[in-house]
Amino acid sequence: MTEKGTVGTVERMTRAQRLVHLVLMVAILMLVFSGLALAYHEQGWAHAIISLMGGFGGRNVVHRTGAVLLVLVFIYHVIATNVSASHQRNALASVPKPADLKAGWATFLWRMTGRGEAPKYGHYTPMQKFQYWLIFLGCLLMGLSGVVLWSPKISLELFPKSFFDLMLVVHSSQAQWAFIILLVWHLWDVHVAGGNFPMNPAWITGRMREDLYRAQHEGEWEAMQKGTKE
Amino acid sequence: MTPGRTLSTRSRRALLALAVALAAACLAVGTAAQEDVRCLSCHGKPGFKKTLASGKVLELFVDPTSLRLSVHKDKHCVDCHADVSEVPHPNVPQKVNCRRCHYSGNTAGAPQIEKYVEFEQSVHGKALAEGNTKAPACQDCHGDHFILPGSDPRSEVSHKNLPQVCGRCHLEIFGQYEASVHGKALAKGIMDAPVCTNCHGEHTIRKAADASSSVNAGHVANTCAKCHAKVVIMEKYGVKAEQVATYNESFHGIANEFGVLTAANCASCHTAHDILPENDPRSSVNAANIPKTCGKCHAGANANFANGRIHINAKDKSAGIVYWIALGFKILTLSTLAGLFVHIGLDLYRKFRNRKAHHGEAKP
Repeated sequence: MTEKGTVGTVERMTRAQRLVHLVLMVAILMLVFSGLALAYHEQGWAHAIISLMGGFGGRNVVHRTGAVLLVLVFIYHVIATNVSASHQRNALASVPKPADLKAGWATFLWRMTGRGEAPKYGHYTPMQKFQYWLIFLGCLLMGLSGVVLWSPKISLELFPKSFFDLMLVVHSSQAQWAFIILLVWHLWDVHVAGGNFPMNPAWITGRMREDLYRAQHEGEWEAMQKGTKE
Repeated sequence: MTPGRTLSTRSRRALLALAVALAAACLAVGTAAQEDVRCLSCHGKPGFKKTLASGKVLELFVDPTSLRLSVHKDKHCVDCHADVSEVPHPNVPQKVNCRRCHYSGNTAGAPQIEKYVEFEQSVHGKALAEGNTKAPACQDCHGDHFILPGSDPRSEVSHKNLPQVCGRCHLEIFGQYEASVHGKALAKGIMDAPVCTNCHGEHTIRKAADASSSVNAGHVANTCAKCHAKVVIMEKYGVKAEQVATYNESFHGIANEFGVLTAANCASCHTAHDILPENDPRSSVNAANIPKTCGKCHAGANANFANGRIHINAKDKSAGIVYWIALGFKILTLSTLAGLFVHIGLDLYRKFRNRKAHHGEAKP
């Protein structure tokens, strides 16, 4: 691409959003490594991870530190979306609408048949919105079940053993489901899809190449052009 | 040597030497046998005993047939009581040392295997070496004159008789064992039931606090699993062999696997010697006793601890809702994965087709 140097960039993530993303990423990595090592404890790699974390006790510390970080960043996110104006704009953009279902279906049809024009997406694509809400609800459910598992002594004083077992299976099953979504879907989206290869740098620099931004969020781009013209 | 040729002088001498040696051996056996008669002139009298200065009565009668029926049937009194040479004995005869014969490379053909050596490292061997007179030596478990292999049901150390042998010193534990599910099964003649040595080892018995002990907190689960993980044994008695796997998958089991020995092992809940079935009201794992049992570690444990199953197998329908949730998430995760591959595949397909189309347009 010869004109690469001349292509401008567009802001995609604010400084606050990047910070939230970074903390969320670190928290999830801590939780995923220490959690999967527990779920697959009989595997050699799990033993390696646990000894790397300083043994069974160390693994507990890593998992619980990750959990506290995740809860803090979740609380911050919920408060910020209700308080800050820029966050509110993002929050509004992420609200699922019937149009998202239509756009998602249109994407499927277009990819299958190639007929007509490629669907145009707004600030968040329907797929991004879907992932966001999966992770949002996932955090809630993981957090709630995690709190029960945190102290068996306290939770067993309040709930029967069968409830504890229920929370345990929900926690571990849902975690693995969320891990698959993040690993396959999110990483594909930001590293490969839409010309992002090798990586969409927005999570570090906050900015995206103009041509890619336009290709990925054409609906928003057109609205922005109109806005600047008017 | 060709047939018909007479023996050489050297051969004749060798044969003579052999004959002398044989005669000497026969004579030696003869004298030992004669000595047995001498010994039995006193020790063969039923009721022969001696009262020591301490007031302790030594039963000194020996039934000569007991030795003749034992593995030592060809041995004579002084072969083992080697310090006895005069009658009456000027010194108190010492306790027999089995190692006179049972050492590796011995010419008497006495068996000597690793496990005899292990005894020295065992809790009994160490106590004996330290001069504890109550610590058992070989003959305290194997018997003195009527020693038989453990495989012989008449042997003191046979599977069926062994608990009584250990119980001679370990009285209280023997009582607990007898009343336990294992002890009762043994009394019924069920030879699958474990006796003391199946858990503690034979010559390797070590204190539970010793990390190398088979009953150390780090090894208890594996020791119980020797039988309890075997479906062929467990199904005979209606016990689930999966209890081992469900423990290994539990928080307690995983913590134990990673060396957290404060985490509960089998014996922490089921006890070591008092093991009773769940439905026995005296059992430590009876629902009524669960709060107390869990409370040993989880201070303040209440009835909630008993409200649900302990050995839960999420892969089995018996786990109820836990099974269905695990299955549901498994299906969800696999179909999500499949859906994502379709999503990615379609993305690539469209990109590929469009690139091909552009290429086609560019060419005239």
